[in-house]
Amino acid sequence: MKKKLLFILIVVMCHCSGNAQQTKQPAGTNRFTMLVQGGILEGQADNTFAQFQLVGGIQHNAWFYGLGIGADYYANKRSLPIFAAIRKDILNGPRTPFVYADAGYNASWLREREKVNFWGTDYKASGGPFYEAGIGYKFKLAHKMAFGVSAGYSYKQQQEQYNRLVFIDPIFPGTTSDPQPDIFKYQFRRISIKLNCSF
Amino acid sequence: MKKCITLAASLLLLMTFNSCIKDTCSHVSSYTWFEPVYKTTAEVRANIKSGAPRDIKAPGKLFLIGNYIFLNEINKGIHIINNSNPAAPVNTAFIEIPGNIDVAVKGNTLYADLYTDLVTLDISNPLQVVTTSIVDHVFPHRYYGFTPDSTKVIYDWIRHDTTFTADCNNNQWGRPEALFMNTSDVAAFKSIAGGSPTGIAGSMARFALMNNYLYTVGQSQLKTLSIADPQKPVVANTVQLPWGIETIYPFKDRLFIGSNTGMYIFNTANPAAPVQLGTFSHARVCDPVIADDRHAFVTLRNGTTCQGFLNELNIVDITNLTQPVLVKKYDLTNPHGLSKDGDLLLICDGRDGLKIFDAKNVNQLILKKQLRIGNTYDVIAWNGLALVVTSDALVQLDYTNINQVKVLSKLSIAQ
Repeated sequence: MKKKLLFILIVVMCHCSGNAQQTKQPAGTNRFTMLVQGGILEGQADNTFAQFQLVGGIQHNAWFYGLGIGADYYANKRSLPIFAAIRKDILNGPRTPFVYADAGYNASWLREREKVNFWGTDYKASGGPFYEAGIGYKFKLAHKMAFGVSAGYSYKQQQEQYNRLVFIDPIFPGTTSDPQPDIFKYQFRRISIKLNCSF
Repeated sequence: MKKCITLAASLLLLMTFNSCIKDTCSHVSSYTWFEPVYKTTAEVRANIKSGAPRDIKAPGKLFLIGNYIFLNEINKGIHIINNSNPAAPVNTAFIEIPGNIDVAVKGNTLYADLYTDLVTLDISNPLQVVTTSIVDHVFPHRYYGFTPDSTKVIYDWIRHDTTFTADCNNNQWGRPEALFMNTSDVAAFKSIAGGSPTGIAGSMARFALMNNYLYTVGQSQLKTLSIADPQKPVVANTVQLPWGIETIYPFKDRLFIGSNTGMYIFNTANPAAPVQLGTFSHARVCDPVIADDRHAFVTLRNGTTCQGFLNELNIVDITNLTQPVLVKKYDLTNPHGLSKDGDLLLICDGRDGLKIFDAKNVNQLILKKQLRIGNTYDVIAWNGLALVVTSDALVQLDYTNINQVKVLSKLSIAQ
């Protein structure tokens, strides 16, 4: 999985790099663009949770390729998605629908109170794949700024594990063994609604 | 444009499916279960004798007497270790006693449990021990319910390691006939004792010798056995205790009994019928205890079996035995067995190794030495020599000079 993510990142970076080198081409074809996004995540969890993202990349005509980082507070399992982003404007003009897709790695960023209760040692949290895809609508303003709203489907994974501390009661038959971990694998599937501003 | 609208509509339709926004949490856990292997009672009893030495694999309680160490191999029997030279102990023989976890020695007599039964051995010649008596059903709590009839004994366990995945909110632990346990950093409880004619019991022991009596604790019982005739113990008395009894420690005419909710103090003025004097309660945790004239030292630790969330040393004033009073608590990492030699207090603090404190002033313990010798479980300190059971060795230390503690030997545990 890590190799696939790395491959996607490399492809996007090559695209970005290639496009950046084309800035000598006629003005308006390629442009460095920052995308600031904030919104909510709605899923099976009881509450609505916030998310924030910052994406930097190249706007090449109707296409945008970028790399982003975010903060995801869903289900009290905070994480830090790091991803490649791609989006396409459907129409030419100041207002346009768009489609987008993100894919990357969802790094675990748990706060102390969010960690699973455990009696053991060697606790560690790790991330997993992250992807999101959806549609949106964009309003272009003056000075190359734009505002937009989007809705999409988001999937992410996280994992926690530790080695149990068990000291067998003397009345039990005993044995020794290598530590064996307890692993908790989380898969979160949510609807992601975001407002974004690009410039 | 039409394509876009179709695409958008399809996506929204997809999102409306409830299963698409379902969160899942799966719990992957490993456990070990043991399948019992039986032998006839007659076969097992006939086989209790000194045999060739075996590798130490799952060491349990320990008893030091004279030049010999008797080390329990959990549920298998007892290793006889010649300790004439603590710098080079020699694993000399093995006594096969299925179901054995406790051992105590007085003079030339060794007492050991064989599941529910008490076995008495004449160890005048440790290399040729002789069974002198077997008392049935002394330890009813050691009955696992697997034996199909009374003529058979669980001789061995076949180990099965398994990993299962379950929903985080719906873990299933009920399984068919077998004995299950979580296996992670699995360790055994240990005990050490020594001396002559009656040994010094370690803090994890369930057997305690005092004068002509052997005291044993089960999960909810204190049993007194008369050993007026050392080779023929006789059950003299049984006292019911609350559930959760773990250890027993004799000191002078008192018995200190550790349970997972507190410590009980018994008076043995009438040694055949101990009487409870006082109780010291604490949170639900595992708690071996030792004592001296004025104080009891109780280590509290957590763990799945122990439950609780404490890892500390409690020092209790026992000047008034009927009303023990907590003097002070000290935070520790994961304390297990402990031992005291004069003003020195030695504590096995799990993965933090062995800690040696100056306990002259119980209100201000001073850490004199910390020895990182692996996961430590139990210790007996006697005359400047400490025997420490760790996760991978039986370690002997010379602490006569506290500033220069020396490792005399390490008897490795086979991995």
